[in-house]
Amino acid sequence: MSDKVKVLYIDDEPDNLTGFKASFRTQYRILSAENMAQATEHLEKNPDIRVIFCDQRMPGKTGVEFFEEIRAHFPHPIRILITGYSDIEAVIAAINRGNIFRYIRKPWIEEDIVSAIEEGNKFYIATSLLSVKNQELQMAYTELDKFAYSVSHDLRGPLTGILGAIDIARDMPDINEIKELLLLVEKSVFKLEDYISSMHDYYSSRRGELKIADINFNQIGEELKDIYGIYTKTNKINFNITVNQPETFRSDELVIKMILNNLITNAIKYQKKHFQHKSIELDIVASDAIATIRISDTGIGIPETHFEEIFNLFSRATSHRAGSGIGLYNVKGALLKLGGNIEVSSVVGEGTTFKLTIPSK
Amino acid sequence: MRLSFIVVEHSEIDIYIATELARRFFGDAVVETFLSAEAALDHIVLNKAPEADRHLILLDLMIPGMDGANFISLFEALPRRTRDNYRIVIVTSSMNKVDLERLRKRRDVEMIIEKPLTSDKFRSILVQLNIPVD
Repeated sequence: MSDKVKVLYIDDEPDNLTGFKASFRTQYRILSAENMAQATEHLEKNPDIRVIFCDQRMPGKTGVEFFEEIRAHFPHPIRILITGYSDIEAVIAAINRGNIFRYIRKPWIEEDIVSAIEEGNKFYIATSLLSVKNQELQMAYTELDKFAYSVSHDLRGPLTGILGAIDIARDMPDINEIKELLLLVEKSVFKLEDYISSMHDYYSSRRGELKIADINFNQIGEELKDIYGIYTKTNKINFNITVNQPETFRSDELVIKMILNNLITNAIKYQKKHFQHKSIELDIVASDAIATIRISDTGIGIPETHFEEIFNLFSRATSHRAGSGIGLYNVKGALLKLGGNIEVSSVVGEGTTFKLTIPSK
Repeated sequence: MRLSFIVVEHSEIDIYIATELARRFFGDAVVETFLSAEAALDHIVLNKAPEADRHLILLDLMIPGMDGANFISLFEALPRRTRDNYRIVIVTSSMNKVDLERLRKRRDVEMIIEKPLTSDKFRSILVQLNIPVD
């Protein structure tokens, strides 16, 4: 049984080992060692050992010395010393140096061992949780750094652009020049708006719980046609949606819509400017187990070297188009939450295809 | 006096503003714009910049690809004769005071202008560089 707490017991007397094993083998997974070499071998093979008991009086090395030695290599297991009265000074020193968690007096009684394992295990779990939280915190800090950069670049950038435009417009005698400038101002405003809605997606997708319900892809397809139909028509982009959903598929509708909106917006944004046959194909096939979504465009494409990094926060594959560098990061994060996956294939100058697979919940 | 401006900037509106201001102050100024720092550096290395009395580089720091700080480092590695033809003016929306302070001290950086670039700020660049304004 794998969910039993793994305990390592080290004692040079085989009788003690047998006795220990006999007493606790039903409750815990016991590994035993007669010497330090065997103990180290166990530790190397079993990184999930949570509690180590070691007898203080061992040939060659004391238990305290052994614990001190393994601490650097195996910092996670909880170290407990078993010892008689006469070694009490060494024990106190070892506890104070942080080398052992507690000690058990010899001859031990069962309750002491059980309580030591239970307490040790609790401490182990708390420490592990703390280290996971620490890693998460570190990641959050890294993102915060990127966010600080992004605030000055993506929020402040368009705003200062608009302010600058207002300044030069004051001395412009020609109304046509001002109109030209207004177009650029409008673009900056769109950029800001785009950024703010991505930030909104970013935080809601990170914080929110999933709301699982039946998904009607035909209906979603109709909605997408309504949203993007007019825009694609006026920009001469052929926008086709095919949906094949014979079975019930369950997932979070808002998250799926957010993903599709991001990918379609990208497909529109990164079209080749003067291409005659612009098109976007959205193809959805959903069974009761899995939905496969393909979205292909005839856009500028993504170099293969960028395939990995386009899903990173604030990454942009091209310097020529507006983009916040959050969209695909949100898509990937949302898919992770749904247990899904995204693959990209692309040819520069010809177009990009994203293939998504999402399991039904 | 004939001036040449090399504008290293990828934001369309900021390019427009820099170009407009340069032309407003000097009708015959040559303004060349580069969306990437790499392209601007190549241009300088290959000595493609036009004949002029003074060359000014208006440099945005946060540009995709090679950023402004890297541009400055690579620029500093150019032969002295090339470098002496140019002065760098950083034009940025960055709020990172520490980084900006560090960049201000660089040999070829003349000054740092906080975006937006306005008429008044453009005039202050010219004053700083002792360029007479008509």
